[in-house]
Amino acid sequence: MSESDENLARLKRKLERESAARTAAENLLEVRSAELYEITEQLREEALQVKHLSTAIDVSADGVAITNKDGVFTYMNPTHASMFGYAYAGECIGRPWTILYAKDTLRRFERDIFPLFQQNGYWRGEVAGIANDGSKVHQDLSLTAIADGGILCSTRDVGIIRRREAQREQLHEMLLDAERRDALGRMAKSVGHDFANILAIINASAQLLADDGQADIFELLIERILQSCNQANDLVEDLMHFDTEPEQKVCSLNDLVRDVSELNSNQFLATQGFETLVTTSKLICETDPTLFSRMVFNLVKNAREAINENGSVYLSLEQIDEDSTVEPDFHPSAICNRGDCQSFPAARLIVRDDGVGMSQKALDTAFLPFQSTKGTGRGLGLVTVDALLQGQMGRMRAFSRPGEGTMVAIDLPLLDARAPRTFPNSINDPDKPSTGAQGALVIDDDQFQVDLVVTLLREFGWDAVGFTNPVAALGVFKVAPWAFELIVTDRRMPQMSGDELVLELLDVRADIPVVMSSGALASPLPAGLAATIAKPLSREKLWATLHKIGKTAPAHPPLSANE
Amino acid sequence: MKGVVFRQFLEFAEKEFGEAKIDELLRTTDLESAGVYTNVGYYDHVEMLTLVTALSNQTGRSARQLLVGFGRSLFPTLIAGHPQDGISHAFDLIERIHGVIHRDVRKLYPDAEVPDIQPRSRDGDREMRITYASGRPMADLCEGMIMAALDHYNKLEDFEIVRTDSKHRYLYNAEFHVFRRD
Repeated sequence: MSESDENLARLKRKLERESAARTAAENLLEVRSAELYEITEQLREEALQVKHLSTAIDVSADGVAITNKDGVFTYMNPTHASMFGYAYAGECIGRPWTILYAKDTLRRFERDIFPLFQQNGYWRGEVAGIANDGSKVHQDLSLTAIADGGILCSTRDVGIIRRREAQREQLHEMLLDAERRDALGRMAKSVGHDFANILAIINASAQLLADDGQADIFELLIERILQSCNQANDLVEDLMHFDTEPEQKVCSLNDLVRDVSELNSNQFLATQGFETLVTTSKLICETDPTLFSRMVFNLVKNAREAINENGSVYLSLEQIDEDSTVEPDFHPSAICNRGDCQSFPAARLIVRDDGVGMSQKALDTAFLPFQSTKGTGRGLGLVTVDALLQGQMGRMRAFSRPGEGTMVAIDLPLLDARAPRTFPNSINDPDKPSTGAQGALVIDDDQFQVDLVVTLLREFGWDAVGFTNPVAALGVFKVAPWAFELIVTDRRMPQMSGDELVLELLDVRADIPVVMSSGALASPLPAGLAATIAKPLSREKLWATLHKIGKTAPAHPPLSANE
Repeated sequence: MKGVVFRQFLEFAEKEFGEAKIDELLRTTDLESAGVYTNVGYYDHVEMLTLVTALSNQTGRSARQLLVGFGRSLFPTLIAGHPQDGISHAFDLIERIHGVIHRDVRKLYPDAEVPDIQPRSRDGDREMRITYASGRPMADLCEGMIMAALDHYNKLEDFEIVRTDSKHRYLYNAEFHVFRRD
């Protein structure tokens, strides 16, 4: 082959290599172009997502800001800017975060907050910032470290929350005030009505006395005046004893019932029957004798007023044991239960009349203050029943039927009553564990009260847990009702009232002893309470109450408990 | 290794040994790419070692001489695409290799395995110690490029280069002590 042929062949090969290289480059460019297109599409989608997120942050109700590693704002959403009184976020971007805080707060950041933040990469708490106009901004602040050394700040103006809480508190106070005013109004109306009647009788009788022509009924008029004066005295006495704390004394119920019976016996007409049957066994009880006597007196008085001229009232006192049931001799259409008796033997007082009877509504309101349905009463007489039941862990069962009469049975534990009974329900309940739990549930919206009661109960040997939210506590109880053997609850709580809570708890487990500890223990209290404790609560008060209901933890009795 | 490096090598070889020699080299050497390289392509560096070894065998010139010479011819091509505003000394340029130039290479070729060429110490414009570390045994190429950098600023005659290769990674790891001959 000649040299020129070789050169030609070499050039041809080079051309072929260059041509192949060009084709390879074009293919590569096509592949890269396709990749670039996909990446561009992906970037567009991601950019859209970032835009959405950015919009969400921009319109968020929470303030959001980002600083770089030098503490200079690189982003701030409008809420954050507005929270600190700036019209635009741009007024803060590029400026250090320290412009939003006073010197003392900055010292707190240096001393307390940043050490924790640097340790955990996160911090949350409340701080007070300074707005553009110099006013304070109370904020709930979250700081999160970000990768480039900057900080993500999320903040919420808790001043608004506090103002709302204050408004809620104010509304609550207004509601309570309205309730107080309503109660006072009803009392004033009731008392005023009764006094007006009494004064009218006295006035009319006095005018008749002044008229010589009425001399023939002189004695009758004097009798009416005296009777009216007695009614006025009764009214004053009712008012004076309304909502007073019982004074407990050891006394014989037999004697008290006999005394009241004698006092009432001359109030009945000759055509009416009044029978009293008191057991010969001495029934010794720790009770307020005045309150007890007033209760029996009022029950008999109500019974007497319910019967007609040929009706009769039956009063009895007997000793009962745990299994004794109350069985009226008629088929009741209205039933009312209050309180719960947990210790036996007990004394049972029964007042039965064959009078007009009561509807369910009338029976329900019979034990509420200023709720008389008779038209002539003050609605104060039977309030003593609740006061007595609370003080003595007793119970009341009332049965009535219009046209048949009413029967009221009150059970009060005797002084030598055994410590709490076992509950029949629990025997048949397959979910109840075989070993006795010592769990105690403490509910109070005041954290301090929760801590106090939990600490005391633990000292007494209980495995106590506390909640400031009654709804949460109820949830726990519903899940594990047999984990608890005692509940201590407040009465006034914002999320759910103590009364409502007690009903819900007892609905889950009827035999759970619930103690209500409150500064507001006015009647009517919810039925089924084991005991009440008036705040302020003390170690001694709590121990005495637990002792009374037989719910001290026997394994760990307190060393210095004042029984 | 970038295709542009292969194409530059073949161009360098053609200038040194003529088109016929390189045609023979490509015909007689077993290459996966068959000697077809594009500037934008990416090829196994083993092909470069194969080409250098074969060319060395055919021409009798050592592989070190070939790679140092290639490095000197490659440098102007690679540096042409990078701005050199404010740079008046080869040391300044070398300092930019790791932080700026290789970063720019990675922007275009994210998978590029660029060598680690970093100045370890510098005494003004008098002296510099540079380390080379790579997954490819191309310390000779690096040496040629350092020479080219000095030559680019007409300083090659004023400086001496003392190279120390790693005992265990000969040609893979080396230190260049570049200092002025005073």
